[in-house]
Amino acid sequence: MAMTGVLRPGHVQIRVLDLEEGVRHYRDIMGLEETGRDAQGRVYLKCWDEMDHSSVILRQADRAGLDFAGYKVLDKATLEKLDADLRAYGVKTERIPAGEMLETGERVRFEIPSGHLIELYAEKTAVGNGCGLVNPTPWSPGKERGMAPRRLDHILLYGPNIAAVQKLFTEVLGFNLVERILNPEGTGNAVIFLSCSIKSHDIAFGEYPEPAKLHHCSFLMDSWDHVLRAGDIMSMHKVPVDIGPTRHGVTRGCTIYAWDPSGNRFETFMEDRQPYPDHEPLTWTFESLGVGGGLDYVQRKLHETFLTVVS
Amino acid sequence: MFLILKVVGFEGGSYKFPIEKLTRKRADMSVFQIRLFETGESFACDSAQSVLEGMARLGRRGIPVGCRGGACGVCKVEVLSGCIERKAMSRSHVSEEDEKKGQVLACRIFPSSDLELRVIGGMKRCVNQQEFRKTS
Repeated sequence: MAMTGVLRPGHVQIRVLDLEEGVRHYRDIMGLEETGRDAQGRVYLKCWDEMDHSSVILRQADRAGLDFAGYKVLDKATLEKLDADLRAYGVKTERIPAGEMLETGERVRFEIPSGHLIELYAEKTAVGNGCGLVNPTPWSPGKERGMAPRRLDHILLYGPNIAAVQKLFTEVLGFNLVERILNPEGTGNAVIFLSCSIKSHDIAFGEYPEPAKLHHCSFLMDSWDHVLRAGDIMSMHKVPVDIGPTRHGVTRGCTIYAWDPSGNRFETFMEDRQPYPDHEPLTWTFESLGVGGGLDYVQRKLHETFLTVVS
Repeated sequence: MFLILKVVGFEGGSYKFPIEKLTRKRADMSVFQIRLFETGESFACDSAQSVLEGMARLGRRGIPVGCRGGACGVCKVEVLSGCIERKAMSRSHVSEEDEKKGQVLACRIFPSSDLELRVIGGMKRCVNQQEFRKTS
C-alpha cells in the first residue's frame, strides 16, 4: 500500500489540569513551539520538524486524558471516501466544521469500540519546519530547544473491545497489524500495534476495562543519544519518569516513558524498524512482555505501571 | 535534607531553561509526620512536597505510586486527620463527594499539619478483566 489513504497521526488534544503548567512542560521543557491560542483557551503546539500548524493541543479540564486524536488523510476526496466507508461499515460519523480548530479544515469524527474519539482530516495550514523548501537547511533552530522531538509519532490507547478496533482500522482505514502481544490465556490480543505507513506503529491499543483511556503520546527523537539527552532534561526538571531509558523488545523502539504535570504519560522514542505491509506480523506471548523483554529489553522485567497507570 | 537545585540553562544559546515555579521557598517549609492507618508506620514530609513524593523520596512504601500528576488515581487516600493543601486532581478519580469525605490523591496533597491517611487506591491491571474486577 503506497500511502494514499490515512497518512499519519496529525493531532492530539490532551486534557491538562493546569494549562500553564502544561504549556511549560510541552513548550519549555520538551521544546515544542507554541503556534497559537484560540477563543476557547486551547494552546496549539508543534514539533520542530513538523510541517503543519499544530500536533499537540492542550485544553484545561477537570480531568486528565485525551479528548481525541486526529489522523491526516491524503486529500479531501480521500476524506469523503473514508467517511462513506465508515458509514457503510456501520460507524456513525460527525462533521466538525473547518476552523473549529485553528488552521485546520473539516474533520470527520467518530467513536471507536474502545470509546476513543478518532478524527480524520485533509487540511491543516502548512507553516513549515523553518528549513525552507528550496535548498533547505538540514535542521532549524527549533532542534536545539528542550528535548526537541522531531514529530508526534504515535499514541497508545487503552480501552475495551480492541479486536473490534483492529477490524475497523485494518478493514476500513487501511492500517496493517505489525506486532501484537497476546493476552495471558493466549486466546486474543492484549496489545496491538497498527501502522498506516512503514513505522512500527502509527497507533496502538491495549485491552482495558475502562473506555477512552490514554496510555501515552509518543514523540520521535533523532537518535538513541537524543533519547538519553531527553532523560537528562527530564531529570533536570524533575519530570517524573516511568520506564527507561531502555529498548522495547516489542517494536524495537528505544524509549523513555514519563509523565506530564497532569499525569498524562508521554514517550521520547527512537524508531528502529521498518515493517512493510507484506511483512508477517510479529507475536509476543504475554509472559514475554516481562521476562522476554517485550516491554523492557534491557531489564527483562514487567513494570506494573505499564498495565495499570493510564489517564 | 531537602535541597533546591538551581538548574542553569545553556550559556550562549538563545534558550534558557525555565525557572521551576513550583518549588516553594524554603522559608515556608515545615516538616510533618505522615502516618499510614493500615500499618501504623509513619514518615516525615515537608510542606513543599506532595505526600506521595515525600514517601517515595525516603524509599518508603505503602501508598501505590502511579503518574504522580493527579491523573491515574492509584495513590488515592482518605485523610483521617490533619490539614492539607491541594492541587487540582482528576475528576475521573476524585468526585466532589469524595473530596468532602477527605478522599484525595496523595500526589496532589501537601501537608500543613501531621496527617493520618488510609490507603484506598491501588493498581488495576488491564488485560485480565477478572483480575480487574477482583481488585476494584
